[in-house]
Amino acid sequence: MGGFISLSTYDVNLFCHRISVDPVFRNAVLNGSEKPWNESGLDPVEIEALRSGDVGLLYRRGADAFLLHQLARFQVEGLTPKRYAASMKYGRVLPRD
Amino acid sequence: MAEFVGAFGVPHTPGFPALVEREGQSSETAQLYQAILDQLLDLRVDVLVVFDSDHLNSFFLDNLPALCIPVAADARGPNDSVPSLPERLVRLQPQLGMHMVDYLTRGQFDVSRSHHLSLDHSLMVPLHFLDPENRFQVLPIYINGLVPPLISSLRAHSLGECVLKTIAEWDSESRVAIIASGSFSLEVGGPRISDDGISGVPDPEWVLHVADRLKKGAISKLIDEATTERMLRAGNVGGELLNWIALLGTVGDKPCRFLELQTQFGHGYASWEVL
Repeated sequence: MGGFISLSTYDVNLFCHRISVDPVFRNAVLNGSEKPWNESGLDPVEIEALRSGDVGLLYRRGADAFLLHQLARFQVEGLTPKRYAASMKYGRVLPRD
Repeated sequence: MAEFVGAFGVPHTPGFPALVEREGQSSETAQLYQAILDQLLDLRVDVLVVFDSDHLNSFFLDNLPALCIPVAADARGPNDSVPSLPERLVRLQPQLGMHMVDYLTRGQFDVSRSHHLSLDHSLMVPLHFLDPENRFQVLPIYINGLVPPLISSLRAHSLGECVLKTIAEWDSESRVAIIASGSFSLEVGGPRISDDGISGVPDPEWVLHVADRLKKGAISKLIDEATTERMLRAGNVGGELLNWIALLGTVGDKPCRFLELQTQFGHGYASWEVL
């Protein structure tokens, strides 16, 4: 793997699943709590990708696209549909509006 | 014995409850669902059996069934926070559910069962429009349509044939309608979405092609064509076509009586006459 940090895609998928079906978890994330991030089991690369909206990277490394879309559906960390599409389709991470 | 009285196909777009709330009952979407609701009422339906694909909400990757039938008395939904879709308790049909699990397991299908679950928009959106007064008992039959490997189209069709036999042998006076829930072409969250949204219809030609097969009753051709690879070329949710193919197993080679497409959304509304 030569320095490549492999994703634990299960944890990324689980994070997105909980955004969809767990309102307490979702509201904690949307309200800026660090607790759900700290307790997620995600590594720093995954957290950075999720928080910056680099869903294209997460997808290319194996995360499920359907689950990733939940991040934009609820605009986690300001991830708008336009920013989501830019990363997923073109690998461009746009700044937050 | 129970009687199979009608078969219908509908979409479950999560934006539709809010769209109809904005545009009113005269909107195209409301009218299309209403046309099917009118038929369900005319047929005096008691139970809706729904071929459906959960969207990784009711089930997750910790234990994801290829096929699952609930045997619970009821279940709440939606579990995935859909705008303008109020939460409600859905009456399920555990006797038919258990009868079906028993029949299918003794036959050729190793089907999972669930005694406790919640329901996502893939079932709740159709119920929002087709059962606004909570008058029907509901039995979803979950087919994994989102996470490969998927069951084959031939197997989905065989499942439909077995479900039909199961209903025919159910010791009940119920009148049963079967519904398929899902799209023909749809990408959600993947690279083939639009530039400003989180979904897209990557293969409108496939939508028209599937519709043509349904109109002509060319079911064996559709089964041959609808490989996993072909369905997923139509989008990462393209496997929802399996729900329609399972339904076709209950109606045989009859052409559909009614089919209206919303090609821009990658889906359609259909009905089959079975009596």
